[in-house]
Amino acid sequence: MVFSSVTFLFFFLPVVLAVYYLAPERAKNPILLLASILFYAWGEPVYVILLILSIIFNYFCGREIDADSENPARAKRSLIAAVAFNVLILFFFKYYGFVLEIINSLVSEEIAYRELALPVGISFYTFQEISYLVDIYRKKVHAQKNVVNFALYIAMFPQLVAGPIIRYGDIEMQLTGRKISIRKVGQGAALFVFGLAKKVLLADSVGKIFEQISASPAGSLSALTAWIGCISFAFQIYFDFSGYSDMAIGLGRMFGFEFRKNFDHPYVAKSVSEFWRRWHISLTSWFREYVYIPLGGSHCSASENIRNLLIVWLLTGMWHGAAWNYIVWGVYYGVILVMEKYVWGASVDQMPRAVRHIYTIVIVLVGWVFFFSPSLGYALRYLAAMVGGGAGIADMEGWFILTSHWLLYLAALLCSSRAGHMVFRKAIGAFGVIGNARLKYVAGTVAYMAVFVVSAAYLVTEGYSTFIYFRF
Amino acid sequence: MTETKKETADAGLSGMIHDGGDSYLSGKEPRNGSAGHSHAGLFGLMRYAAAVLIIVYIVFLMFQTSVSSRSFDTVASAVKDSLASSNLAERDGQRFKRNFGLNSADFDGVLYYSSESVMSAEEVLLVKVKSASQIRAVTEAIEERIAARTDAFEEYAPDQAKILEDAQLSVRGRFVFYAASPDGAKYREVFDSSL
Repeated sequence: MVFSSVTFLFFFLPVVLAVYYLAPERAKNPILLLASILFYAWGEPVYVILLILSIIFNYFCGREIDADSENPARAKRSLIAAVAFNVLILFFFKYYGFVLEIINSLVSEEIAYRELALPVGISFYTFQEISYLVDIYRKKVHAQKNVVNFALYIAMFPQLVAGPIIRYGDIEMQLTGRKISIRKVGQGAALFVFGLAKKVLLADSVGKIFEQISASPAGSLSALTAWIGCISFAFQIYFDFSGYSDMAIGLGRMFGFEFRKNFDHPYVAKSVSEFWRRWHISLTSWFREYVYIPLGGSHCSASENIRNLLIVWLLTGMWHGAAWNYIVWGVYYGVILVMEKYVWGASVDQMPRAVRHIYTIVIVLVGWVFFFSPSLGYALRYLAAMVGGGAGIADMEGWFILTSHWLLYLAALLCSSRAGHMVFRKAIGAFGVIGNARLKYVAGTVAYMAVFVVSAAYLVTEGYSTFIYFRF
Repeated sequence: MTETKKETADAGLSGMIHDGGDSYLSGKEPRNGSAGHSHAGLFGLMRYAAAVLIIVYIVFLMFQTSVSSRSFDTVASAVKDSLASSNLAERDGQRFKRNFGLNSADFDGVLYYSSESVMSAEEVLLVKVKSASQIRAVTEAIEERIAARTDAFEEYAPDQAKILEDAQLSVRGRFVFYAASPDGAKYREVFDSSL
C-alpha cells in the first residue's frame, strides 16, 4: 500500500487510527503490528512471510547475543553468523541476477537462472535488524524480550517500506510507553499533509517533465533541456523521498512515536560533505556507525581513511541497486568526498557562499545523472548533452518548458529551501499578531486542510505513482 | 563523512537506555551462569530453525513464483508478433498514462496496444515492473480500467462489455499481462510460453 493512495488515505489510515486510539494501552502494540502486517501484505502478499521469518530469525539472534553477553567470544560468533545471514539474504535478492548477468557476459556459455522480484523494504528492514544486533553486541541496548514489540520495531508500517532506518535505542522506551496527545497528533497530521503535498503536488509534477525529457534520446537534447531534465529529477527525488519521510515521521507521531528527521534541506548545502549530512540522514549515519567507524573512521592514516571512505561509498551505491550506474554513483561520491577532504576542501571553504553553493549543486546534479540513467552509456551521453554535445546549447523545447512551468520550478525552489516553510508559518503566524492565538490555530488548521484537499483532489484526478525509494 | 557531535549524543542516548528501565533487569531471567548459556543454546537452536525456514521459503518461491530471466524485449517481441494480424495499434507512454494513470518510465518496460475504434474495448498490455511493490499498482489500475469501461459499454455495446468481463489478467514474476480481446486466451498463451 502507498501513503499517497486513496485506499490508504480514506480507508486504511482512518480505520487504523480509530481502532488504535480506542484500544486499551496493552492492545495498542498488537493492533499497530497487525495493521503493519496488513499494510505490507496488501502490496507484498508473497513476501510478507519472508518478513515474518526474518523478524523471528533476528529476534532469536538478538536474544542469543544478549544471553551470551558475558562470553564475548561466543557473542561475537553469534553476531557474525547473524549479520552474515542477513547480508546474504539481502545480497541474494538484490544482486543474484546482476552477478549472473556479469558472469554470463564474461563466459561463452550462458547460465540460465530464475529471477525473483525484490521484496519491498528489504534494504531498510535488514539494515534495522543488523543495527539492532550490533547494538546488543556493543551492549548499547538489551534484546527485546517481547516478540510483538520487536516485530513492531521492524515492521511498523510508517517506516517499513522506505525508512527512515530507525535505531532500536531511539525507540526502545517508546515501544513500552509513549504519550499520545492531541497536540502531538496534530503535529503528526500537519507533517503528514506537508509530505503528501511534497509528493503529489511537487514530486509528481516535476517528475512528468523529467519523464518527458528522459524519453528522448540523450543525444537529441540541447544543453538547456538536459539541465532542465536533471534539475527536474533533482527536485523529483528530493520531494518524493523527503515527502515520504515526512509522512512516515508524521504518521509515527500520530501513533505516539518520535523518529529522527531524515532530510534537512540538502540543496542549501555549501559542500558535498554537508549535502550528505542533510540527505537521507538515517542511511548515511547507519553507514558511519556500522561500517565507517568500525573500519577505523578518520582516526587512522590518510591512506586508510581514503580506503574507508571509498568502501563506504561503494557500499552506499550498491545498497541503492544492482546496476553499474549506482555503483559508479557511489564511487563518484567517494572520490569527491576524498578530494573535498584532502585536496580542495580548504580552498572551497574560502570561496564566497554563492560559489560554494553552485559548486555543490553542480556536483550533486552530475551525480543524479548517474543515478537516473538506465545505463552508463546513457549517463555519458546525457552528460555530453549538458555541455552542448547533444543538440547544441538551447532549443525550443527547453524554452517552452521553462516558460510554461516557471511557477512550478519557483515553488519547488522555495519549498526545497527553508524559506518555503518559513513563509507558510509566517503567513499563519500573521493571524496571531493581527488577531489572537485561537485565530492562529484556526488559520493553521484551515491552511493544512486546504493543502490536504488540494493534494487529495490532485490524487483522485491524476492517480498515484509509487515512491522512487520503494525500488531500493 | 566526518564524525560529528551526534556520535557522542548517540552514545549518551544508548548509555541512558542501557542503564534505564529495561525489564531485563527485573531478575526474571538470569543473564549469567549456566542458565544464561542454556538460554543462549535454546535461542541459537531457534535461530537455526528460523534460518532453515527462510531458506526453504526462498527455494519454494524460486520454483513457485519466479520466472526465467527473459528480458522485456524478448517477451514483448513474442507478444507483438502474435498481435501483428490484429486490428490493434501500438500506443505510446502518454496514452498508457491517460488510460491507466501510470508512468511508463516507472517500469522496466511497457507494451500497450489498443483498438483504433472507440467502439471497441479491445486492448493488450504487457508491463515489466521494477520491483514487486509495483505489481499491486499495475493490477489495480487494470482492474479500475476494466470496471470503468464495462460501465461505459454495458448500455450500448454488451458484446464489448463481455470481452472486458472475460479479460485475461496474469502476473508472472515481474511481468503483468492483460488482454481484453476475443483472442485474449491465445495472446495469453503466447505470453506464458515466451517466459
